[in-house]
Amino acid sequence: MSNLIETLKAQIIEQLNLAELKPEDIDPNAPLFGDGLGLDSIDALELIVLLEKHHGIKIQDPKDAKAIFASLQSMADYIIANKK
Amino acid sequence: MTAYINGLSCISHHNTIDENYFFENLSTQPPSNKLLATEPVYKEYISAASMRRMSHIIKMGLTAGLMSMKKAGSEKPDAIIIGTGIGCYEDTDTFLRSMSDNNEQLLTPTAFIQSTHNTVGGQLALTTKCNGTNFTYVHQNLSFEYALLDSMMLLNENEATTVLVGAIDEITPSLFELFYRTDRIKKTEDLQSIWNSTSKGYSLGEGAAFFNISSTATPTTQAKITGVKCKQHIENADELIQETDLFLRSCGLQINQISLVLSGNCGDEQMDKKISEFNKKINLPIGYFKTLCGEYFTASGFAMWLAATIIKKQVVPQAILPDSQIVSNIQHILIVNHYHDKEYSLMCVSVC
Repeated sequence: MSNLIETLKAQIIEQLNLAELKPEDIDPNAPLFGDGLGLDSIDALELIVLLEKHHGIKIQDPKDAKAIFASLQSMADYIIANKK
Repeated sequence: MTAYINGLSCISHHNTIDENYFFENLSTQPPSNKLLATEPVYKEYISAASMRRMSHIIKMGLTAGLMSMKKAGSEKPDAIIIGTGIGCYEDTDTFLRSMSDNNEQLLTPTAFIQSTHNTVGGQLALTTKCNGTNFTYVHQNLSFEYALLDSMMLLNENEATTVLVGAIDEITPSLFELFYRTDRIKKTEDLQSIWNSTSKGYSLGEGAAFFNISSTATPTTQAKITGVKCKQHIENADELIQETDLFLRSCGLQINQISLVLSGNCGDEQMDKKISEFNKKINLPIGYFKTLCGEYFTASGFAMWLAATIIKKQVVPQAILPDSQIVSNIQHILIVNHYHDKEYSLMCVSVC
């Protein structure tokens, strides 16, 4: 799990071009949107592509996205639960 | 038609952000065939959150536009008009590569959103909250000239009081490679001063130049633009002289009133043949502005910035002059530009 968290941190920094951030700056339990990392709707699309491209997981029901992308930890949990 | 330049800003190969520094510290740098821009500290102008999605050209354009507004003491223009030869090429390149690499699947939105030619105009409108006219002209070498012409017509027809007009283009690795392979760019061993060039190709440049213009002078007015003219094709130097004469008459001037010509020689002997002959025949002081900025689609924007700054300072940088002549009492500057021996343009900048 900790390896997956670190991998996700690096992937998010690269995909969202968060050059000002270091992996240790991202709290796995902090919200990704709003107060935490302050991501927005365009970032949400980038995260959906990231999941599919790097982890082979396609979100089937868009309604689930809010819960999946609540935090880095919830993303990692979803990946582990859905990895084929 | 006359437009007053009330604020201006330029990001180019040299440090043109600070015009005092530029004039005092301009030195002949080692010759290069790639004249990349000297960039400012962008975070002083753009928030980190916005900047992370911006490519090089967007940061250059947005920053230069905002700096120009600041110098004019303006918070919001009535219109934003921009000229760019190839627009946001880096983002276009990223998006197309992603399409190719991923078999047209899993495409991310950011590069696509930012790849359109009018991204800089849009970002400036968002930042300044300007919901007025917003156009981007993409006409290769005449992009800036048409943007300026449209801006001046808006002022002339009282459809705008102030217009932010700009010129932007960028070098990307793939663009440089493409131009190099097609012999547009000079080989390193062929680099020499533009006015003595006997070889093929030019140094590729990039930059952003922005101007706050209005139909009336303000306390910050630095110079005035008295005319713009475009000509797609010129047969020979004599025709260029004839066109220049007609153009200057339309500006209420004669050729002997011109203090300095900023000539758009690029350094390719063959492409420069007509303009070099023109320069010899008109018998006026000639400054070669592409010595400083290189050749790119909107290099005439740099020339406009240089002309207005020379008029303000009443000093011509020695680096653009082929000999140690002294040009004084500068009243009117004529900019003559061309691209690959076509798309000629004439612009006149005068003291107020």
